[in-house]
Amino acid sequence: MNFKFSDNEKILFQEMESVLTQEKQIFVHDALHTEKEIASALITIKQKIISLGYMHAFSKASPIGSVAALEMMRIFAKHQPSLFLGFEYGFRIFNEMRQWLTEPQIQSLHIDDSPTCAIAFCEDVVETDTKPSLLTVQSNGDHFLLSGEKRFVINAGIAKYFAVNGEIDNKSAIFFIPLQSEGLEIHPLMNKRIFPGLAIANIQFCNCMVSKSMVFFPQHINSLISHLQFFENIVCIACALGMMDQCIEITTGFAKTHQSENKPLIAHQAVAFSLAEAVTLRQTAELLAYRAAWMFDSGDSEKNILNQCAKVFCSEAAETIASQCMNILGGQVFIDNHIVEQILCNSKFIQLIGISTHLARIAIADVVLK
Amino acid sequence: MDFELNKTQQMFKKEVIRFAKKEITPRIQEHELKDEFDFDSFRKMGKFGLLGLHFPESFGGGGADVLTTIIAGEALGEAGVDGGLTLAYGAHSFLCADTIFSHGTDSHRQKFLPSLISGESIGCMGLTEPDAGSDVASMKTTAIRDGDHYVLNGSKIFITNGPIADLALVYAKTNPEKQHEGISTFIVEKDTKGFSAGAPLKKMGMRTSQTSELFFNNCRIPAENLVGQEGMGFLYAMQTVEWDRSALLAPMIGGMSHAIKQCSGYAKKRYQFHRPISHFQATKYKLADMKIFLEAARSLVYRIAWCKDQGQAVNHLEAAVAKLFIGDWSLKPTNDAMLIHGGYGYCHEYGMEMLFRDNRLAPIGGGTSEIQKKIISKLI
Repeated sequence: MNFKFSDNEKILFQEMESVLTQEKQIFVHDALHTEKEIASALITIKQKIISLGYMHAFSKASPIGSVAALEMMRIFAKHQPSLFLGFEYGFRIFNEMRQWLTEPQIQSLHIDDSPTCAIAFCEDVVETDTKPSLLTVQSNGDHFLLSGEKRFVINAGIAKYFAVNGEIDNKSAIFFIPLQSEGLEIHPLMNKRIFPGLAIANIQFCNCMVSKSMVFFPQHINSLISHLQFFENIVCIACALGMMDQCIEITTGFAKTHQSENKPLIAHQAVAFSLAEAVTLRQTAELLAYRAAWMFDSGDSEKNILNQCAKVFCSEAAETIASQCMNILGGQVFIDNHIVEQILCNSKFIQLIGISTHLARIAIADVVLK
Repeated sequence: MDFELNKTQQMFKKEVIRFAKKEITPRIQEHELKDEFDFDSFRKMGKFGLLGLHFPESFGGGGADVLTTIIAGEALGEAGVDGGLTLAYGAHSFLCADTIFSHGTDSHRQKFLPSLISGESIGCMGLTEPDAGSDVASMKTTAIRDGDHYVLNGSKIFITNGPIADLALVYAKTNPEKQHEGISTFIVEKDTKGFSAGAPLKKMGMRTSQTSELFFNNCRIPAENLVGQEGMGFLYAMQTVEWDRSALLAPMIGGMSHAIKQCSGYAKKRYQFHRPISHFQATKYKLADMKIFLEAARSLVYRIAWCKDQGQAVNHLEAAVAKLFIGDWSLKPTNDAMLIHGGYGYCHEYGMEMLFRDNRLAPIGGGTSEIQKKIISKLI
């Protein structure tokens, strides 16, 4: 066993921290209103962190171990959770899909600094299972005509393609649809209370023409979805850890400087104990997350169940910590979109994406019951 | 980072589970119902090598590292050994014997360790007093030097193994005017005049461990029974805390593994509304939460063991976090384990109510959760 990061890994974390600190101005939420602003921020970040090997994390060829990679993701998430999520969905999650779909058309998609593809699998409400798609698909010569709607699409309006799931003759299909396609309408970015710098929008298809050469029939769609969920979970775990860090840092600072009854808040036992519980949850979450990431490298047979355990624990711990921190920070958290209030809402969102904490619990229990 | 147990550790864990299932668990219920200590199993643990696993072979120990020692504790829990016996083992091996090994003289080690390691004699540690629980420094028991002797007066309470111990490692004030710096550590043997143990206390859980008061009434002990230096007792006591935060928690982690297996087996066989209760999401949620707790808690304990093996001073924040998390957060999954069994869970036969009662000590013993929060908040 070894519970410490190597010196090289620590240097890498310092570099990551340093790069993100230098780009502080793009992390200001107010600067991330439009697709253009968000896309520009994503490009800037990618250019800065590519040399650190961040993009290759969690791939077999990566010289950076998965635990260290998770820590780098956590540092990013702590600085700007919205951009982190957009970045991860735009690059890492799509890249996992790309590796799964081996067709040359997918492999030859032009990759540059902006997100290549937004994954649009969700219909109606945020779905956690693989119900039959409501998208209608008609054959029309060399094309298919798509009609219907996809919702909560991350990086909508930023990515150059949409990967849209549907069905043709009862067979699961994935359509790669260019951003400028006729019949594709991207709704305005959602005015939401979660991840304000994340471009999420609904998209509408009205007889949208998709070339048949850009439609793929993955043999095991459920396996592909599970594979993507595994990586979404890693993203959620890192995001949760980063947000916990931010909550505790802000609140501890406040508790040390803000006075009540002629002494700092932290000198009051109720406040100090509440922070102690938050730190306990964070440390526990962190170790569980590290172990889950380590299992990815070691190929441990329990890697999937640990990934789900870590997803549930970390995302729920983030919510608990944000809630406790709000109690300490008091009324100020309801003013000016306070970061800790946002984190409370964000933590609910990351409980839903990837595999939802509900379904994760069922999956964990199914393994336990085997 | 690397979280893997090596092959030897994995094999050893299986061996301990096999041993415990054969030699200990068949008689647990019988002893639990009678509130009695299982001397036979305890001695078998000594013979198997568990009581002195981490001590040098020259004293009859196993020479194992701390992580392996922790894994043995986890394995006992996983085999279904009750909290009472593992608590007695912890108080004996870690709180008593380890302090003698770490701070005693060669003569102390030669005289006491071999029989403690073999299980022929039983040790206990006397620290807590009726008016000095978390606030150790306010202890009132005194040890006043008188020529070649110390004279002890006072009492201790909640002492695991108190009524059955052959020797007690006792903390007392050699300088009552001082706080922490006035505390020293002594070995007091069973038949010493002026030393007695009270009747076993009736407890909610951990019933196979015997707990009592210790009384010192002009108890004269040879000056050479001082362990380490005068005034260093508080420091020694705090060092045993590292064991409280690792080895003593390990059987609880194993106990959760055991409970998950029990609950899973029961839920698959128990039919309600024409289907096994394992098909109900409410049952699955409980099982999932038990598994999540287990995986979250395990690494916390391993980390402390690993730090000790590296010769690093245990980080007090990490140790307190482990104790607080396992103490406070274990209550829900142990309650869930009982609930899965319904009415049977409330009955002794299925072992879940025993697990619940035993685990209820976790946020209290070895430093309460409040003390852990105090430590953590000071270190933030």
